[in-house]
Amino acid sequence: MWKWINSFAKPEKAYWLCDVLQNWFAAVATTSLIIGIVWGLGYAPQDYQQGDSFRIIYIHVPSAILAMGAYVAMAIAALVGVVWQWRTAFMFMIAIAPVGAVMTFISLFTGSFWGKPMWGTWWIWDARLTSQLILLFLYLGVISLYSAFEDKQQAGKAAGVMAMVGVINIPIIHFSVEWWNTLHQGATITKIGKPSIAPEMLWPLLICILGFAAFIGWVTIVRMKNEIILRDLHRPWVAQRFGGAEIGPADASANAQGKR
Amino acid sequence: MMMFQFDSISDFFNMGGYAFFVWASFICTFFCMAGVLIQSLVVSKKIKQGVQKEKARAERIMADRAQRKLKQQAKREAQDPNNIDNTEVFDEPKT
Repeated sequence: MWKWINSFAKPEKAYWLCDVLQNWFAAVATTSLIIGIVWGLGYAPQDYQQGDSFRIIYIHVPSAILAMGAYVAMAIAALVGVVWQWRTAFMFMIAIAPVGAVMTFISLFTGSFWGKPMWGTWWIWDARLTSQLILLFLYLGVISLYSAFEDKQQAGKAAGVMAMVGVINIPIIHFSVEWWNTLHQGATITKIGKPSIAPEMLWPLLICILGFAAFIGWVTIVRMKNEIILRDLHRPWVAQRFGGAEIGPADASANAQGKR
Repeated sequence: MMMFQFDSISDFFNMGGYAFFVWASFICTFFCMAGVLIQSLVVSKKIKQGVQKEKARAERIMADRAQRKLKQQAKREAQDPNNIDNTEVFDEPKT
């Protein structure tokens, strides 16, 4: 089992796995995003206090939750990369970082556009919002630290340490609504026990979360494949896969003779 | 059971008076997600094209080198049919 998992550390094997998974993620992402958004926008009942503005929840909550989820995934990859020296783990780390950053940005943007009509302000420096903003900066920090190094193994280690240290921010975001007084409401669906949301509203939300998760997986896989090829550009397996075998002098001379 | 919550399409676009906030959020989200996806796919295409280009270039160079080698050999054979050593190719391009 352990050995089997370890075999995926090889770039060729990881690339193969990405190829297998990519279309599944794409299919799940597209269908559940369409179903979830249409259901949420048109068919979920109105909120009795917030009217139709609550429909922003169908992108705000999935993007916020999965921004944190993607960060944890990135930090785990960083840990694996640092401890077991997997090159592919660092590749995954840097593949998911921009996607997580985009998710964080979406959650902040939609939160702002939800906050304006409900709270009367675009932005407020309270615990939840500020810690989410720090999450965005952590993502940007990991990306820029990685791109600052010429040697990508070194870059992976440096950015990985930053990613791991930044994990401390995740529980801070989650519990910020309990630890501090804040405008932001408390947890709705991640509460232990019964979620405090009507099932007619909850179902499309869960579908949207699934769709966002699959979307993150999809884009991450595409980026991971890019990263693998870029890093292994001069290895024979890449040439074999994307341009036929590496041509040796013997083959070339055979070709040339054939042409004459 | 499940029914459309709005009386008309214009009602739907109005979003109970919150049209600006709701649609701005959704449109921004759409563009962000489409952007990161398309960027990744474009990069992927470029990388693959690059690999193929590089391979085609290497092939051209190798074929050229082999051609030259054959020509040199023929030339040398014409000059001195008994001299078969020294088939060194000078001025090799780097792949």
